[in-house]
Amino acid sequence: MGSCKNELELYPEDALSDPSFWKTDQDLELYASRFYTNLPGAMGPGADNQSDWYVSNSPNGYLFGTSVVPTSGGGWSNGDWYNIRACNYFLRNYSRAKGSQTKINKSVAMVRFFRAWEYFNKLKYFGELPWVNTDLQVDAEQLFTARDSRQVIADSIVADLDFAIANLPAAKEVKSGELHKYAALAFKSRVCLYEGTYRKYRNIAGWEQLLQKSASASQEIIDSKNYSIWNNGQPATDYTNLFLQEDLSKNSECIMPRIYVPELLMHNNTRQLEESFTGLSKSAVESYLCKDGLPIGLSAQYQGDQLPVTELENRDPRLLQTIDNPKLPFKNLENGTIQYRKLPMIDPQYCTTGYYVMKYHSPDPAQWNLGLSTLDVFIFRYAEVLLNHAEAKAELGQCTQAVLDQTINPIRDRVAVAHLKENVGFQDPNWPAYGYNLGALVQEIRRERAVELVGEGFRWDDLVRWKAGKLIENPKTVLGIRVTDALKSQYSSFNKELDANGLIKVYPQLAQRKWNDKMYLRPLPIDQLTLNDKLTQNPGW
Amino acid sequence: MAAILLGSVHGQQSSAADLQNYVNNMQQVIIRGKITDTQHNNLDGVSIYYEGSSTATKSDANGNFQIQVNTKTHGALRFRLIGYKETRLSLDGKDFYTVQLEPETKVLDEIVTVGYAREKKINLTGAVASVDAKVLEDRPLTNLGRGLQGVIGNLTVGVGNGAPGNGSSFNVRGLTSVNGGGPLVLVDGAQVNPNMINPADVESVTVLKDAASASIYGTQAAYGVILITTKKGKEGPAKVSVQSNVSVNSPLRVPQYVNSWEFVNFHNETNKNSGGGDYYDQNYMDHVYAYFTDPRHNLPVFLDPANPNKYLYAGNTDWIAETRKKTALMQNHSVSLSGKSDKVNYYGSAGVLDQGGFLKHYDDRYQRYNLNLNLSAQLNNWLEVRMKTKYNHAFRNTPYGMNSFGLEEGFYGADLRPLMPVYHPDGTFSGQGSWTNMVALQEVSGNRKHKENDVWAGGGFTLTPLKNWTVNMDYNFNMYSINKKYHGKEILESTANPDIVTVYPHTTPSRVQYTNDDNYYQNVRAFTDYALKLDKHQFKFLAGYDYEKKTYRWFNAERLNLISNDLASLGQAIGEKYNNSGERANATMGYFGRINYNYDDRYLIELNGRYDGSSRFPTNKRFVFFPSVSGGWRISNEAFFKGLKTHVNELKVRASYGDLGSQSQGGDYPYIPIMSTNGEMGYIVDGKRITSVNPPDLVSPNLTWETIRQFNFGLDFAILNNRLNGSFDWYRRNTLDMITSGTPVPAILGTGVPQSNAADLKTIGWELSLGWRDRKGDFSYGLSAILSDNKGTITRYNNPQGSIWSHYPGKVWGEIWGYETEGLFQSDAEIKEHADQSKVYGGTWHPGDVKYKDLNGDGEISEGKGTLADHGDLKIIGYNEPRYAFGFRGDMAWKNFDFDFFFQGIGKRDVMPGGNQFWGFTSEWSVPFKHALDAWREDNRDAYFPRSSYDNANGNRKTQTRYLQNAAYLRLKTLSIGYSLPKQLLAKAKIDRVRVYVTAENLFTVTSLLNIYDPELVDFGKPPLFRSFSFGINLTL
Repeated sequence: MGSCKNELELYPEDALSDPSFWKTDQDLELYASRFYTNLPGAMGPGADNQSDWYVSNSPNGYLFGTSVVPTSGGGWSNGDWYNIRACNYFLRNYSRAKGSQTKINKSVAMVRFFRAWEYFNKLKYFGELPWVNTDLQVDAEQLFTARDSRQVIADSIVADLDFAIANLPAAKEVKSGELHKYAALAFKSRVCLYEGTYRKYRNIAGWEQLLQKSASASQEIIDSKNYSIWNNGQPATDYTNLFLQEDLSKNSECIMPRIYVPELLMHNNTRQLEESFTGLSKSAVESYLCKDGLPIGLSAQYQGDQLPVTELENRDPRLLQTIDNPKLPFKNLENGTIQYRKLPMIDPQYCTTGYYVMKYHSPDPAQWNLGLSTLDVFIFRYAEVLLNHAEAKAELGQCTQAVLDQTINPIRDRVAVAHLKENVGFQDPNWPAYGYNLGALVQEIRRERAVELVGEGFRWDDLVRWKAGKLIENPKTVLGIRVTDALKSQYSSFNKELDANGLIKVYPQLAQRKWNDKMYLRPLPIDQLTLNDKLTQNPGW
Repeated sequence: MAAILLGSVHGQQSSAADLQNYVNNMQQVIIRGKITDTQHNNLDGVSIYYEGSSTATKSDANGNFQIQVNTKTHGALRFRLIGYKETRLSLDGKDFYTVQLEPETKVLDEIVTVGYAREKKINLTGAVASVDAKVLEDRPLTNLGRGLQGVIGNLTVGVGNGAPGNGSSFNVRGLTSVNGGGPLVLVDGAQVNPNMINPADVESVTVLKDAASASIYGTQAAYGVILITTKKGKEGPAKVSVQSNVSVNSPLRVPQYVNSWEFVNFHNETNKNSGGGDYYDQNYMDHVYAYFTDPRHNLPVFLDPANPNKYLYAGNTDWIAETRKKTALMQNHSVSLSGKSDKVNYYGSAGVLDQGGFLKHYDDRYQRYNLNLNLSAQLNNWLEVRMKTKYNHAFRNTPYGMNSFGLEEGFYGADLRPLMPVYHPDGTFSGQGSWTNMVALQEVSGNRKHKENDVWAGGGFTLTPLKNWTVNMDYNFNMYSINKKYHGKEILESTANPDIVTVYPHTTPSRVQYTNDDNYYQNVRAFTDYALKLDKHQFKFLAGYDYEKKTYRWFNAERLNLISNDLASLGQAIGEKYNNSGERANATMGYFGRINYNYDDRYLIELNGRYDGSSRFPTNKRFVFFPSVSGGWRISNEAFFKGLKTHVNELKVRASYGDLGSQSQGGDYPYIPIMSTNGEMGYIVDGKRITSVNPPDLVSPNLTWETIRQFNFGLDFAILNNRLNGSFDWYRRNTLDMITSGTPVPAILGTGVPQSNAADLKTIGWELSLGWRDRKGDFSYGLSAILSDNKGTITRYNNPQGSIWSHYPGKVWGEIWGYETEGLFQSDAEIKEHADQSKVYGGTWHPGDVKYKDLNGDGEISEGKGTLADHGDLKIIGYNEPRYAFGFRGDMAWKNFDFDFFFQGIGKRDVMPGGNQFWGFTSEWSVPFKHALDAWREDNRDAYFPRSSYDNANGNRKTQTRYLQNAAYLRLKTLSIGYSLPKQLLAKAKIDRVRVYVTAENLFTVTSLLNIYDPELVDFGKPPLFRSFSFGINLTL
């Protein structure tokens, strides 16, 4: 304790700093792993609330046109760009580390995958973006540049993914939960399908190549024969059980799982799904085919919707396995009995429409405990890859029966619904009016996608890329079950407002939704436009 | 202090009794005399001490006294009476003396503690204010801060909240820096946490406000210094003093939730207004109504028709009444032994505070124990050694609550629907996972226990090699540890079906967590001073060095799944283990010097300089020099003032100017790019949670000290025979080179802009204090008042776009931007005619929604670009910073009675409240308070609140003039009446003094703030402040 000035030289004793990091390939792997948590986990009941398929208790402000240009934030704040910076910081520094080139490349591939992941989310949200490929310093001129075109962004995302595909290990060579080549391929098929169809329906050049890339990526996964639709020959329960798996890492349909383990890491899906504050819309339920592969408007199997139970009869068995009904176990009680529910739930807290979504809901009371759900969830599911493939092929005009038999029909086989034929074979009077001509085959592939992937968070993206915003104007997208007087009398009391056809009006006080094309892209916040006058606002905002 | 040692005991008998004692003990000489004041009024109750012995007596009602002495020709007597100067009388052989006591010029003659010295207040040149222990005595204080509120101008005390053990925070002279920063608080020279010490041990508190007076404390004194001096032994025999206080506390503001029937109807109304239908169906409403009107014959639950496993709730619970007690008990006791014998001066004390909280189902408690020993010894004429030790121990116990809870949760809960009963019909707790049952949380959730140990040891010596030359050295050492143990139990969760029993939300898995903080502080300080007097020239020189280092080390260990829910130990759990630790340090070093010059007690000059270094800055930016100068002119000592002196007893003007540095911003290592790690990420690879490393934030290599430059002008005076005295100070404080984020750049940077010394601000303020003291016969009284104000303005800030949501040059601190409200829309036609409000809320506007004024007349309501150039219809509607802080105090004594009062308040402050506590329903989970029912309806068109809805919440609830609240207040902080027992009753028991008193704190408040809020605590998440009635006794042996 002298007057020596070294007494003031103090350094942290509990933290790493930049000069002391970046030594070995293990450092790189440690750093690259930080991005895993950005991948989706258990989504709860609200994943598709912002769409025509779900009707949440609180009206979705965005779809009702109540959103305004934000002052700041709105998805474009420092924090929103943090992960991209974190990727770029790695990419500028990784070469300082020594070690196995394969391991180094694997970490670089991971980081580039995650940069693509971040950029894809931003592309969907804002459209054009500045492409940033280094960790900018405060004096960087690039901070003040204009947005790059969708082409530049999409090409850069694809380049990142191609590097990832080339340098990530195969699925069999990684530990459970780790990123691998086929996950990157699955993501590429998704990204390219998104951007390809987005451009096709807006006459932007390059869509064919993108759809081709999507189809090739999914083809490579199919050809690998690593994966297959999980089918135990139980069409009445396989679909429901697929989403109630404790361990997905060995599941034939799982390309990449998000793993949950008791105590270590758990989620809250079952409880949240029970208190869902939402419900499937009438228009969504009417989209389900009958078992004979015909839509309800054409099929002789359809029993009508006079009673909730008849509406579900003879339908695509995924309907019975997706929404609550008297045949779907609701709760396995401790005394060994199984509880079913006779009447559709209509209550703002549980279900708004009477179509109470039970996909991912476990009847096991242990899974209902708050924050103690341990069921794994899918990050990439093979069924999506097959649907991507069929759609890309169909949009390119290359979807043959062979393609369908490799993609859509195995999915239908699991639930024993009649196969989809190349020529479809019917004209559904209730096909959604997209506002443009659409071939029967693409109509049916879109239907199949919606039904199979319900509640998994794809629907809004699909509406956007299909330029299908108008679908939210269909009154049935905010209506629920038909409540006849006979049904009403079975409830101890009933005070929901019904429309002229006896369907539950979820928003009796609100006018019909009006679509505005500006809603395809989000507005940029005012503060960013002020800080950089080369940034332009998205159209219509 | 004086009030404890002295008292106004009168009566011939007591003197006679005293005399008898002395006569019995020894055969000695008796001296007599008479005591008057300067106007020849007889003074009774004057304490008379015979120097060098334990002999003492008091004067009687006629001012007469007699006292026994050893000899008539040697020695001296001392006379003490409150309100008068202590007077010494040398014996010169007479038998009878006439003594005149001069009234005390309380403030101006006072000796105050300043930097490394004690100085007469009248000779100070800086802005210094001080108070003695009187303001702290006989009050049920939980900590020192609460006793200092409103007693010193521009010393702002944040009283925190009403949780047991909650501490106070301090600010001197308002806005310091955009980074915050507070005064340096020193207890006997060391950085003791003032919330941990026993207020009864405090002798005096001095606040050094301006740069010149604070500068000697350097590195951490930029925003003022609070010097707390603890008691030392006083000359005379050993004294034992006992202070005891028991108080009954009750919460100041208790909000009232709506009842069940109001709730369901309001909920339905709101849901419909939000675009939905009724929230509760008819069946539900019937059950609620039945129980509401006839709780005796109806159940507060019924089976959910859609789910027979579940109850639906239809009760009518007043959750405030169920979870909170109306009163809580607090006790405060301390005992001290002090004195000075020969060359040894000693003061030792022990104190205990035991404060109960307001939770009804848990023994919520704070306990603090203080031990204190101050010793000093004059070994010979050139060496004094001293030693100080303190041991403070505190214990806090609260319920565990939930995993997300902290120690000071209000336990009100945001979603306490009146519908939920406390218990199900079978006696189990209600809740069913959807709601939080606060009674269950209090009763069976486990506990959070904190133990604090705060040990101070210090020692030092003063060498006096030559007359007027001293060399001082002190060393202080502190070990502070806080040990936390959290025991979270699983709470079983019942449903209507006895077969479905799960675990209560957020309480699972059960867990035990230990956290240990181990902090060390050490401080070496050495200085030497020399005083020189040459005729009328007086010089004082001081030079010194100090070094302070703080090291922090902590770790925590947590384990899940207790084997037994009731046994919390790391070894008695079987689940996951988590642990973490940290280790940091910072240090400062400074060399300082001071020169004082005093010419003939008329002209006073002081020069200060410091050369300071801090570990927080890079090596080449580490050391900076800070100078200051101050001067004073005692006009009343000038020859030309002689004629005025009879009217104006004292008059002094003074001014100071100087720089100080601040270095406490941006953490301990703001210039080192740290890569933080996270050991437990939420993703599993190969059966384990992954670890991650984060990129470093951008750092600037050029960070250096913030400079605080302060100019102060002051005036001190005493008039009317020293009965009225006062001082006034005006100051300007410029905080220069504040460390802030640099120029904002577009968000694609992806991280915060690195910090740089890039902003300035200016604070201008003043403080006035006045005191009056007088005596009329038996009646003596004093009044004092303080009034102070300050206003901060940003003068430099990196905000080239002029965004109003950031700081900008010219921004007045605390300004609130908002819309001007024209009222509530009454019809659709009115909405149509009015300016377009769709940029505020894009959905449909309805009658009952808020109508904003189109200030810029562009036909739409918007915030424009949110810049100074284009802020649309926003304007500055008020200021959140408190202005015009005042305090008014009075004390009176008549015979054996004394009486005190103290008012305190804020003259001007605006607050924009928010949250569901103010607005009612902000989501379907909210539970409104009663006041929110006054919402717009067709049949309530002149309502205060807009149409209740969730959907247009953002539009209606913008910051705006209509709902801005005036938070100015006046509060009667203290009202106290005391009675001292007559001396004759005590003489036989050899008790010097007994005083009993009752005190009320926070008795009433005048404010126009909405009555759910406390103007000192506009926050519902925290326990409310409390009113207390206390009874106390002081006893001196």
